[in-house]
Amino acid sequence: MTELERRYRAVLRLLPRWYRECWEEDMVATFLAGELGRVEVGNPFVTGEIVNDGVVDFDQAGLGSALDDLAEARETAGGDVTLVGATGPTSGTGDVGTSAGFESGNPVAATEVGHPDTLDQAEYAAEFGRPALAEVASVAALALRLRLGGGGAPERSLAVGAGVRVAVLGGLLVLAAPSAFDFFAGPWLVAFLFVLFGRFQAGRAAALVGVASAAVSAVRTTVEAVGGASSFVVSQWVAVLLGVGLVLGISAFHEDAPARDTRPWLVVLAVAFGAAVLVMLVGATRPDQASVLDWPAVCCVAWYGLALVPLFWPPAHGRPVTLALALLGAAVSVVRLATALDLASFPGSGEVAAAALIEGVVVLVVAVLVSVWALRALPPRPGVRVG
Amino acid sequence: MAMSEQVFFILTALVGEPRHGYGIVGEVAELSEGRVKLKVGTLYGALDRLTAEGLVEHDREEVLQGRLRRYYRLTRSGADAVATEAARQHANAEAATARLRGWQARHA
Repeated sequence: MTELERRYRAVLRLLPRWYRECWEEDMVATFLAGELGRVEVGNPFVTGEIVNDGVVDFDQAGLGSALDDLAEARETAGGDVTLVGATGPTSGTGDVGTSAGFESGNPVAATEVGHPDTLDQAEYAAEFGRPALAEVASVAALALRLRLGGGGAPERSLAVGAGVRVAVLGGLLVLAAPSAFDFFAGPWLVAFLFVLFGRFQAGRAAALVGVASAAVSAVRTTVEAVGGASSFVVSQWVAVLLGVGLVLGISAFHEDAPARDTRPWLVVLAVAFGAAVLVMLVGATRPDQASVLDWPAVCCVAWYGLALVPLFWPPAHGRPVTLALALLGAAVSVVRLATALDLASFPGSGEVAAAALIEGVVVLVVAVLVSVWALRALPPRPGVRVG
Repeated sequence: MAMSEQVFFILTALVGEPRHGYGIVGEVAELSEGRVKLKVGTLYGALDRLTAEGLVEHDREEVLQGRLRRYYRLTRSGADAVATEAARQHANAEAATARLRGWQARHA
């Protein structure tokens, strides 16, 4: 196995095991054929593969036009034709059947685009080459989609995808609510509404704007913190990371996902707006910014309430809402613990920081319990499928 | 729902004869005159979904230089889907062409 193949197989480990067992060998063969064995003759869309030194196996459909190109090139050059591929320049006027054999001659009239043109280069690419970033990205996107219930995914991935969709909408809503008074939360409101109404690409774009805005704010706060000022630097960077998670999570909204009932989400958004305004008004009475009633605290209380749903409404157990609660619980606890750290840096805020710490720990513990519950309720891992 | 351009070209590449992964990549590039360049992850994501939807099926396997090559072929449903999409695109193109003809006549 060459180093290039080993590296590509390492990239494929991003894919779920059930998928790799079905498709890995095929994907590797296709990738290596593209990287090391493609031959382009005149017309860059006529391709073939070198199967032995000097023998080119053209794709069946390309054979006719390849022969035309060879004949034309030979006529133009008044002699030999060069094919360029993994085994190096090979030229000739030989007979061409379903495969083509060529003898050494003067190299002319061949086209090669972005591929090794000598044996040394091909060997170098095989031993030291790496999969292009675009190839890695395509595998990563496929892996994410499969794990979130994309086309052809098994029941377990479908259930995970459904849970992630609820969690993403919940997360976007939490970030969108402060837009009632905070202009910089606006992109999250736009993202929430786009995703809710099925405009997923636009939703992802708006969420990216939200992440960029949060990152700028985090950098500015970090600079202030370096200067010695008390600030929410940890929680701002946590917000950036959670924003990135939401952007990735929007991948769970794909064409195979069922349509959502938008009305309940809009009602919850209206309630969240009210809560956010209330928090803002309370916070305005505390000029030191260290308030026991801040937005993460409201999120903790709301999460506690929602976490009781599966206890009192058994049908919810095993449904997407349980997995969503686990994911949101993890996010809320991380935010609460981060703000507890930040609050500790404010003078005279020890009690508030301690309260925040306790809130965060309690949410974390309950979220772990809910996660165990949610994972047990998921359908079993799939076996190997026959493609 | 309209079929994506990539899926349309993958299915069209399989019209007439079974192809293996790399054969599909090359045929799609040729059909689209180089506009659509499939990445391997994109191709297999689409093939997996199309197989699950019954539009494409496994044809045969061959071993070439120690490597397994799996061939795929279009199913009847797949052919119907291509025909429907081709008709839709054709109708769209005709409608646009007719409008343009009228506009060009007025602005000549």
